[in-house]
Amino acid sequence: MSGYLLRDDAPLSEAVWKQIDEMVATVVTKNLVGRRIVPLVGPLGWGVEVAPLSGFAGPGEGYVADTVEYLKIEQLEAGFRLRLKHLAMADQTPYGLDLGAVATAAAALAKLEDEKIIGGLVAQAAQAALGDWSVPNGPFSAVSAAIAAMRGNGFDGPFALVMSYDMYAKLASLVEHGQREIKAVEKLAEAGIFASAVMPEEQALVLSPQPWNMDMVVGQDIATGFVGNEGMDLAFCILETLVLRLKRPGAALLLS
Amino acid sequence: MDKQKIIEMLRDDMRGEQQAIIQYLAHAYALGEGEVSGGIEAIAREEMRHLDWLADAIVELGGDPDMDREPPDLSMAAPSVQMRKDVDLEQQAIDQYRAHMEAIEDEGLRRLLARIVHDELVHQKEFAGFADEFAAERDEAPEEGEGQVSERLAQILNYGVRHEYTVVLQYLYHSFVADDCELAEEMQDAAINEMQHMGWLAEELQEKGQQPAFEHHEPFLSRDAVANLEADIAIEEEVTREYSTQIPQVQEDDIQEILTRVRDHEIYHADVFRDLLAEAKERQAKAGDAAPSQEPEGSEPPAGAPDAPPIGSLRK
Repeated sequence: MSGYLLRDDAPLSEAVWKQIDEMVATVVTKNLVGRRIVPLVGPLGWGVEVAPLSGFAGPGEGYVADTVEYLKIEQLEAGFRLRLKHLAMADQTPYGLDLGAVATAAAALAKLEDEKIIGGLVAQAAQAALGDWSVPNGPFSAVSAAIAAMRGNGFDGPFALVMSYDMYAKLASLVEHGQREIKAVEKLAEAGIFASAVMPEEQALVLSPQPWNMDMVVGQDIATGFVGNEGMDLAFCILETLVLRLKRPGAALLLS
Repeated sequence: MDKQKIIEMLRDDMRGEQQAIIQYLAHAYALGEGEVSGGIEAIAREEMRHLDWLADAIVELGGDPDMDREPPDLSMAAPSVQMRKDVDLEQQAIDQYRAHMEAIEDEGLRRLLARIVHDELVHQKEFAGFADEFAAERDEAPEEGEGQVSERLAQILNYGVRHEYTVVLQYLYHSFVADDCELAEEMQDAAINEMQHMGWLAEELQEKGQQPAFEHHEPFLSRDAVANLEADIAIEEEVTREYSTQIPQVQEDDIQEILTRVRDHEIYHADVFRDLLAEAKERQAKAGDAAPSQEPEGSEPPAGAPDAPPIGSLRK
């Protein structure tokens, strides 16, 4: 796999590559939200370009996966550059290599991935009422009603709850009789409550993130490749390929 | 005129051509085998050529061919009434092409549209002739269908019609956007063959008094030849499995024979696509998009470039 990413062509030592890879891994694991919730299939390889998604028919003579749609596995990428002078400085001074550009690109890639995964779920989700999240018991009522409706439609727990940062702040600030609202909601959303920068404001997403309901197919997992020399800079690209599969529509419910 | 506007006009024309193809085929299948239905199918094939020319023109202008359609008239009526509907649809197309010819200044495109209008005028005359013929024969109903079709058999045949319709669109698009002549030709051949399958299955449904569902699944449309061929192989493998499951469930020998023949064609298509995929990958590698030869099998990466550690799932 490394060969396709031309990592061997970059004039970097193993130690510098290690620093870059660790920085990318640290930043993306801190930033990614969708991967904490949605099951992952793969990585299958960079060369794999489509993933099948079955459509179901029934009840008739029994439920059956009778159609198949082939989803294109998309490539996401974010670039960064390292100055040769900075590599020399890292060698010749005690300051170490400045990896700020690597971290910024990794955070940008994590956002792109979440736009595909969380944004994709928002776009395909069924809809329900959000209710009033500014008063105690408002979020609990809305989430419990959503979960009851999903269970009624055959979707199992544990359920996950994803919302924008402003909604998360609202939820975290609600207290009544010494009881924090978020603690009560946590009991409903056993798979966790998550805040995401890609969630639209004033919306919350309830998910039944079981592998038979949804997953993300990864071709090439997040990795850094060498693009080439650009003058006295070295250009790199952090990339991955993936596609979201919502296998049973209804496993995502958007409260808005 | 703005290039984008021209592309939109040609996309409109493509939608009309696909509407005509499906409407004419439905009318032909309803008539059962015979000289007139053969004539109508020939007209549908000409409309398919128009679709091809329009798609080529769109791609040349930097646009994306439109694989949607305007709604065809699939309602049942006496043959002369159906033929009159087709006369009207031809008139609609002629009017639209003439309006587009007036708006477009490009000489080459005007010539292309004029050529299509000429064909449509001939088709219109043929449909008018068929309508008169049927009216004179007092609209003798086509041979009565056997009228008995089990729900499962209808399901199987409609599954086939939907699949075949999907791949007709998918393969046509793949031929429109192919940057290699052999690939474009092979994909078009496959599309024509799938259209033939659609006809066989739809005719069986019509013979048994059932209206075929001329609907399709979402075709896989991309500009990437490798991705397209991978999707084409996958869909052929899927339908081969499905037909193989269905064949033993069918009691009627003639339909079993048709399904077996169609299934065997699909196996052949998958083999052809595998060869085309290998060639497409080779072309991509030469173009530098992918370079498998840069990583000799079994070679160890030098010490300076460790493998990137996988991130994997972050679920707890």
